[in-house]
Amino acid sequence: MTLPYKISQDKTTGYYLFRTAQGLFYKCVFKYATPRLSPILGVYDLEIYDFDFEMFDPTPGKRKKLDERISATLVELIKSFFSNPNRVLIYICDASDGRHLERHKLFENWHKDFLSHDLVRLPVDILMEDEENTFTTHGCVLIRNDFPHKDILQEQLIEKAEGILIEKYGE
Amino acid sequence: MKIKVTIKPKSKAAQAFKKYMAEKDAFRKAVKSGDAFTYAKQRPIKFDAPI
Repeated sequence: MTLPYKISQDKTTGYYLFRTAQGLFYKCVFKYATPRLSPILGVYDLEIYDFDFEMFDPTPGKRKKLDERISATLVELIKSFFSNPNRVLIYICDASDGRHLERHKLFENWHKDFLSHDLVRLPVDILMEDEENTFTTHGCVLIRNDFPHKDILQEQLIEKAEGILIEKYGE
Repeated sequence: MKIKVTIKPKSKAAQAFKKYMAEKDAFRKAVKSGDAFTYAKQRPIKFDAPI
């Protein structure tokens, strides 16, 4: 495995940060979701987090070489997150710039190449219909292979996903 | 196993999902523009630190 970059954490914002050899700045964020979900999940001590990451390129006109240390760093961060077997990570791809399929594929490849030995990946498709179009975005739920409460996760998170969206963001 | 969520138009879930995606979009734009710390201060947003 390629050597990851050093990650630091900004205490004021909660950002996990790293800078690549080519000068790109990555910010990774976790949002704790359990308190806003079904209380049953809390009873079983499940810790559910929403994950996101983004990059700032201070020299956007300059072509960058493929840097495998970036994947290695993000994989390392995700592995560290799963120190607790009761944790669940949700990653929904940002679709606003039309690049959600690329993000989905990237995450899928990371899982296949580096994480499948330790983590189970449950792909997520979210279909949103409006008057003219059906819009789909993608994501995944990650859990450890030895996650102890798969039945609870199925009943209280996966089957209630639509209701969760309303509870979390529908106010 | 694949998780499929279908959101009906004009439903509360549709509004909720749009809000969720708008938050992701705002975060992406803030980071892309190099303004992520201002974004976090203005909201104010404090992300969690599980590691």
